[in-house]
Amino acid sequence: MQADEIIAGVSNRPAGKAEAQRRAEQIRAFNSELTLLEQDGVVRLNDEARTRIGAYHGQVLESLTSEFDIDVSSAAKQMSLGMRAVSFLGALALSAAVFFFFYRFWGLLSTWGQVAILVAAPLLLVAGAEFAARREKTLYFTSLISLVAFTAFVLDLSMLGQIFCITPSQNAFLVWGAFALLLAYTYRLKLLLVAGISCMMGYLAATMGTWCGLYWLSFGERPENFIVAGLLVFAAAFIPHKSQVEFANIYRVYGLLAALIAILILSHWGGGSYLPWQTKHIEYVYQIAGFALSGVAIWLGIRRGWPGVTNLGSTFFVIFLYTKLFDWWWKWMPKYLFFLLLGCIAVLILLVLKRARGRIKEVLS
Amino acid sequence: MRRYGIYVALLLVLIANAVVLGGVQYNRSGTPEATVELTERELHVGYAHDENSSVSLRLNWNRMADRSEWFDRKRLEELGYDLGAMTDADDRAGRRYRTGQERKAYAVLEYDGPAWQTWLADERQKLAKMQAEVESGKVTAKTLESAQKRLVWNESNTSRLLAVDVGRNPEALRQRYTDRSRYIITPALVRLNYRYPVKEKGVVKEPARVYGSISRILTDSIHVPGEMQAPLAALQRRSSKYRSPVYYEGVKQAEPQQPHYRVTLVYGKRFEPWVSAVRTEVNADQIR
Repeated sequence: MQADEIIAGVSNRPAGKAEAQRRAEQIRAFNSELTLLEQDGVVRLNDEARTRIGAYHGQVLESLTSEFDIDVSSAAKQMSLGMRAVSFLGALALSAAVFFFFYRFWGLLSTWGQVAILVAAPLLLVAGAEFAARREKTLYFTSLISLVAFTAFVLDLSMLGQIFCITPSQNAFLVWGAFALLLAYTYRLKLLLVAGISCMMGYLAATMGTWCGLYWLSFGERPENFIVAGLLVFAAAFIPHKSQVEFANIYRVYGLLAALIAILILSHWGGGSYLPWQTKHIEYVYQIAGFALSGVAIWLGIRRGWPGVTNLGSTFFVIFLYTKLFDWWWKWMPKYLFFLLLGCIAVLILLVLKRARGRIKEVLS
Repeated sequence: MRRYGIYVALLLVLIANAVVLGGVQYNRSGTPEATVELTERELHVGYAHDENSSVSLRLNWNRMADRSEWFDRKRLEELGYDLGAMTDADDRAGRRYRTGQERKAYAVLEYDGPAWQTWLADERQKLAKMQAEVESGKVTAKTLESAQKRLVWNESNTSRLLAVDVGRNPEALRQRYTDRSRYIITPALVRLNYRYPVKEKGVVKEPARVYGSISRILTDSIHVPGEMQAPLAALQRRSSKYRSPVYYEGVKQAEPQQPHYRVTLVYGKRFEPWVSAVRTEVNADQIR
């Protein structure tokens, strides 16, 4: 049987590398559990069944490896993680090299020579990424070259702005974001996805700032711009991601993180708000909003099976709680009592979570 | 997706560059919006840096001489600030405009014109008053000497580029300031300021005031094309000796310097500048 035939015949054909990897781990776990069951005498497969399952799994793993280049052992998985880290660090170093190389020598070039290099660099690097992608399944080199291509494109537009003294505009973020997202979706690169979302969030926040009468570069002075941008990014996770299922989680967590950080800032710096109320009142509103959004995130994460969202909600719930307790008690309470209370609250939260865990177990059983 | 994605990414790079370069071409086409010859006093060259081989000039407009009396409530409202029924004495203005109220506008910079002459005349008048005070013993001779040196410095070294107006519509500003070799119209950031009333024993000595100010000229860093960089790069390379004449370092400083160069700055249809000529006044070897 050919690899493609096996993949086509497999129920729930994997949509991407992450899913293929999960399938391989599932097979490994199945074999381990079967060995234990046989040792304990719970079940014993006859030779024919054992051979058929073994042959089937062997072919599935072979085809998954050949199509997605997955790791079939834990050692290989550790090695892949290391390669991913090296690829990221290499991309950062090469991006810095491109940036400093241009700065070091651009004074020696004519204006049109500078323009030619700036325009050609991202084009050549995108072509290089495609060349690498056609020759490797793991996409480590593709990821590295794509990130350098993104840096080259950022350098391209920002340097053209400097050379021709162009009035800065937030539209550059839109173009950079679109470019990063195109590369991310083309090659399924999470790092480029994060870069693209960051640029898009910058564009959305700056645009909202201009609608409210600010100059676009002042968008950071009003954290509310990021609440809207963060929630829009969170909403983008609901767009169907057929072949990039893992991308939806990045949209959810990143969007929620931006919104929660902005709310945390406003809960202590009401002066940065658009709201025409007294600073203290604005801070109270955002403290309540912070608790509410963290709570909703925990609930939604548990209900939908989004562990990232649950963890983020829990973390921010604790941060909001502790900062509030600090505001209330730190100055007038003896320090030992303050930390004792924090410890007691932590124990209380643990008890509540333990009870919730028990309920989930009951429901599952 | 894979094949299309890569083509779309390549197309995006090409389109983005075409839009930027098309904008540059448009800016530089036709009759320039303004052509002004400035000196080192108004355009000073940055320090040399091993990691950056290029040369850029910084547009130095005179903030010291900027009294901003002209930048009042009326102009702020023209720029779109909603002051409503707010009075100058109402500290809600201070609270409401505490942050994030920078807006884009167009500033009019006047080069060596009436605003500069008026400011200089005011400074001379202050000095004459001080001389009278020395005679009556109110001010020491040392303070007077310091003020005299400062005035000489201002006359020969300080930037003669002063902000004289702001507006939302650059064409309307150009109709008011028609001399294209003296008035530059440039995109700038403006902000609203609120000064709380000055009180002494409960009595208001100076009322509160809402006023505007220019926080930044948006295109104040001007790249010098490679073919014109040589004389400026020579200045940069002597960075241990070279000081831009705009920096006043107190009475102990050497005598005022003459500007080392003149630069012709051209503003185009999009009010974006470029350097069209650099003329040196002093050889790099003669720099003190």
